[in-house]
Order: sequence, then C-alpha cells, then structure tokens
Amino acid sequence: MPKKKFLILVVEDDYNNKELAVKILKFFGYQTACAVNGEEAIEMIKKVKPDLILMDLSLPIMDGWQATSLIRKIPDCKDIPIIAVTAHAMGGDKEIALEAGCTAYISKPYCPKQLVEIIQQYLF
Amino acid sequence: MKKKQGKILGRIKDYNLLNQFHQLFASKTELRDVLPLVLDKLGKGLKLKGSAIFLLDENEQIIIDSFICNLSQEELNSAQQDYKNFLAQEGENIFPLSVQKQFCLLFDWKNNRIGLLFLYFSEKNTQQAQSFFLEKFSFYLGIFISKTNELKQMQKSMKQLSSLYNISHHISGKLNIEEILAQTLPYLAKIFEAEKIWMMINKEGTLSPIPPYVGLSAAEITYLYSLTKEQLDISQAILSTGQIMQIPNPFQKYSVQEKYLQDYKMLLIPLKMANTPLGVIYIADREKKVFTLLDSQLATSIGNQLAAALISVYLHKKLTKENIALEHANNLKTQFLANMSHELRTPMHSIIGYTHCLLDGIDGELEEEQKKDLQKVLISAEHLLGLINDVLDLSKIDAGKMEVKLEAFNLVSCLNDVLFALEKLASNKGLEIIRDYSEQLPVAIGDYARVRQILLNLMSNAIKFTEKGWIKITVQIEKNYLNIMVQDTGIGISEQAIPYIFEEFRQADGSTTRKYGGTGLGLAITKKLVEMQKGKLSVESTLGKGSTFKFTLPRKKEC
Repeated sequence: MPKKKFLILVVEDDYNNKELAVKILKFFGYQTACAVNGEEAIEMIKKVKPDLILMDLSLPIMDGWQATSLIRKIPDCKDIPIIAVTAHAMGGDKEIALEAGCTAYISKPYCPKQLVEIIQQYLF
Repeated sequence: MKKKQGKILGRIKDYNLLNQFHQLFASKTELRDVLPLVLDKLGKGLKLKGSAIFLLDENEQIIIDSFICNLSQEELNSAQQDYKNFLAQEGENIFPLSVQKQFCLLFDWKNNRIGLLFLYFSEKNTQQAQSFFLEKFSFYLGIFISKTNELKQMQKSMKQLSSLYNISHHISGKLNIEEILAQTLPYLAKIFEAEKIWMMINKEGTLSPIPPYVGLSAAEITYLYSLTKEQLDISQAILSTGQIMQIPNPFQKYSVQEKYLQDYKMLLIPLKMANTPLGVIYIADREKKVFTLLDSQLATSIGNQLAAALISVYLHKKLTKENIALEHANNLKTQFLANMSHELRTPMHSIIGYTHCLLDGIDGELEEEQKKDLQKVLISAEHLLGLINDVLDLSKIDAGKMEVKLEAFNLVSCLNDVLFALEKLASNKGLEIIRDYSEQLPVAIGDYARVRQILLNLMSNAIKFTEKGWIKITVQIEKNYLNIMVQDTGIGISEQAIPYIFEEFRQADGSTTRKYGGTGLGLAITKKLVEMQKGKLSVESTLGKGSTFKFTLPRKKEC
C-alpha cells in the first residue's frame, strides 16, 4: 500500500470499465479522477495535475494517441507516466502508443494484479 | 544470194540487239527503272518515232500502269483506244495497225496477257525484217515484267508476314485499347501501303471513332464523329456478318455531296470475337486501285488477332472491376470485424475484470462455492475472448491486413520468452519441458511477435493435449532455414484427421473441443502466420503416442 495518496487520472469512455478501474485503484489506495475522452483528459490534467494517467486508446472526440501527444506538449507534463490501455495485444496499437509518448501499455482485459503491478513500477 | 546475205546480217543485228536487252533485264529489278530505258533503246534500235508499254490488270482488261516514250497526247489517246481490239483477238500477238503503227502483246510465262507494246515507226516499216525480232523481244519483255512483278509480290508478302509477326508481338500482353491501336495501326498502314487507318469501336451497338488515328486530319476525325446511324449501316452490316468488305466510300449512302474521304477506296475489317462485335477497322487509300485477295486474307488474319487482343482487354477490365468490388467488400468486412471485435472486447473487459475483483476479494470475501462458480465464468469469458481475438486475426490474414515484418530477430529470446510464459502451465500438469537447442542460434528472419504467437500456439497445444511425459523444443540449423520442432508425448492425431487439423474451426475430433476446449482456429492461424514468413508448417503424429509439429523460418531475407 503506498504511503502517499497518488492521484491517477482514468481516461475511459465505457462507464463500466471506468468504474472497474476506479474500484481497483481505490482498493489499492489510490485517488482517482476521470475523463471520458481526450479533450476532457487535457482539461482535467490542467486542473488536477495527476501523478499517473491510465489512457484508453479508442476514445470518442479525441483518441488516446492524439491526447497523449498533446499532453506531452503541456509544460510540466512531459514526465507524467502515461499507461496506454490497448484493446488487442497482438495489434500494432502498442507501438503507436509508445511512439505517441506513452510510457507503458497494458492490454485489455487486465486483472487487478496486472494493473497494480504496472502502476507500482512508476508510483512508489 | 545478196538477199540471203542481207537476211543473215539482219538476224545477227537482231540477236545483238536482243542480247543488249537481255543484259538490261538481268541488271535491274524495278520496272520503273528499266522500262523507260527499254523504250529508249528500242526507239534507237528500230528507228522509232515513239513507243509505249501498257500494263494490264489480272483480268486483262484495264490498263493499270503505262510507260510512254516520245508520243504526243493525240497519238497516245488513239493507241489507248485501239488496244482493246487486239485483246479481243485470240492467237496473234503482233498486230500491224498501219504501215507506221504496230502493237505487240506481252505474255507472261503462263501465257496470260499482261500488257501491250505500242510502236510508232518514224519511217515506212519493213515488217518482215522486224517480226522475228519483235516476236522474240516481246516474249522476253513479258517474262521480265511478270517475273519482276512476282518478285515484288513476294517481297511484299514477306514484308506483310514480318509486319504481321510484329503486330502480334507488340499487342500480346497489352491491356489498354489505345496502346494496342497505337502499336497496330501504323503497321497496318505499312502493310497495306494505305494513307489513312482508323478504328470505330462498338459501344452498346453504336460505332464511334477511337484514337489513335493514322493519317486523318482533325476535320476528318470530326466528320467521323458526326456520322449517323444510317451512314454507318454498311459498317454495322459487316460487323454482324463478319465479312471483310471493299468499297469506295461506305458513308455516302444518302449524300454524294460528302466533302470528306470522297475519293478513297476503303477496306473494312470487322473485329468480332465469340459473337461479340468489337468494332471495325477502316483502311483507306486514294491511289490504290484495288485491295487484292492477298490483302483481304491478311486483313482477316490481322482482324482476328486484334479482336483477340481487344477481348482480353475487355475481360481484364471486367475482372479488375470485379476485383475492386470484391476488395471493397472485403475491406468493409475487415472494418466491420475490427469494429465488432472492439465492441465485443469492451464488455468482455468488464466481465473478466469484475470477476477478478470478486475472486480477489476486493468486494469482500466469498464462499468457496461462489469462488468455484466465478472461476467457471472466468474460464468461459477468457475462452470467448480467445475466440474473438482468433476470428479477428484470421479475418485480418484473409483480408491481407495482417502486417508481418520480415527482419532478423533472436529466436532464442523468443523461445525463452514463450517457455517462461508456459512453464507454470506445464509444471501444473507435471510435464517436463526439454530445451533441445543451443543458446547461440543464428538469427532467423521473421516477425518476433508473430513467431511468438506461433510458438505460443504450438506449445500450449502440446501442453493441452499431453497428460504425462514431456514437451521437447528442438531447433535444427540448416543451410537456408531454421527447423523448429515442438514434440509431445500426448494423445496424438489419427492419420485420417491429419489433413483437416489446419482447417478453420476443425479439431481432430469434435469431442476434443468439449474435452480440451480451444477455438479450432489456432492451427489455421499458425499455418497462415508461418507461410506469411516464408516458412512451412508440417506435422507428424501417431495416435496415442504423441505429435511433432515442425515449422521453418528462413535465415536469409532472399530465401
């Protein structure tokens, strides 16, 4: 369990999946903020300064790739860990995600343990 | 005595003169070069005022060529009026017209009359003395002319044959009508020695000109575009009969006032293939008296070749069109599947994720029985997810959308990666994993992620279908290939089932699906992935004893 309460921004358009991520993160002692698309995510980042972003890639209005590359241009946001949530492990999604500036990726569906393990690599 | 002596001297003089002509004939092959010289020499030798040679057509009726020496227009006109009288008479070949004028018939070596020699003496003619010479001379001249013509005809045929060959050589494999015409029409112009050549193409029963054109002016092209259906009736008729036609001008049916192409003799070649009317080729020339039988035979042959070339263009276009439609449909299908699989995975993520939450006790501790039930939900959900992924992979491969990078990669780290992932699965079943390969393997050419997928599939199959014993991974180094083998001591595959195991949705036996699970797509995908990386997948198996799956990966990019 982390000593400091880290804030994680969950960017996810599907309500159930967003709730799932929030549930797991809260259980492991993280604070959460949510956004449903890339545009909202960027607004939110300016307001709350999260410690890590969990970024789904297929999003309406502005997708995760685009949002990531824009976030990287915001001052002080160059080094925020962004974990891409890819839909299909075998596809080329993850390469594009890393190219766009994501720090790591996790493929859906994930189990709570996998999610927390990857987050713990960046927040400790 | 003196008379006899004179006669002998006359003969010698005749022979000398004949000999001179002989030499002249032997030295030249062009009538246009020789005949004026012949007339000139003849004029001097026989003391002629003037002379002419008229050449006749095949039917011995019309003068098709003439060579004139020192005749006034008046004298020439009267000679041209007179010649028919002599042609009507049989048997004779020298006709004195008056004391000063004389006709000789010219024969070829088959005794066909090919021309006439007209002589106009400057002084009173001593016919007796001349007739011996003229008889011999006209005989030789006839043969010379006919042989020269034959030679010319042969040369022309040779030229036509080589042009014909050139045409077929140039149009084979061409898939564009304009290109075919651009290659063909200039050759046709050469073969037929014609001024103008063009094609009118049949589009839904209407003939219209199609570029390129040979020898047509802009005004003439516009004129061709303006032709009405009535004016094109002859063209349409030959297109339906398929017969070649020779005609002065096929477009003047209703108006003799037409300004264009008026004095042209035309040869119309219909292009037709398997009852499909494709169009008409028009060969037009002003100078040409007639197109010969040989011309039309050649035209038929060229017409057939062109028609074949055009039909292949049409078929190719049709096929291309159908292919584009098919590809479009295929793209839609792939797009649909991609969207679909994303849509399917979103709720799957919820199902699997929340099940994990429950099993991990995030929402509080569960009863054992509840845990068992949820395990079953999880297994089914993961199976369903596997199906979704496999269907997407397969559809991507089928649509040619699966990208495979062919680059050098480290096979050992790929093998270790996969074995690390599967070790627990094997040890849970008490199976031994044997690594029968050197840690210093040479690089393989392929896509790391796809090879990983192949190995993962073959090895998890081996573990799945083996109850006890071992799984062995062997890598053999060949000159151009690496042979990778996954061997197990499992249930094996019957000889009858082997041909089907690489087919989609097939497992060796329907009951295995129930017992062992799996989508039935794994080996189909694996085989396709191996082949996309220029390798081969094969299997050897004995029922009850085990199976060996073997695939190859090239060591060099060119392999």
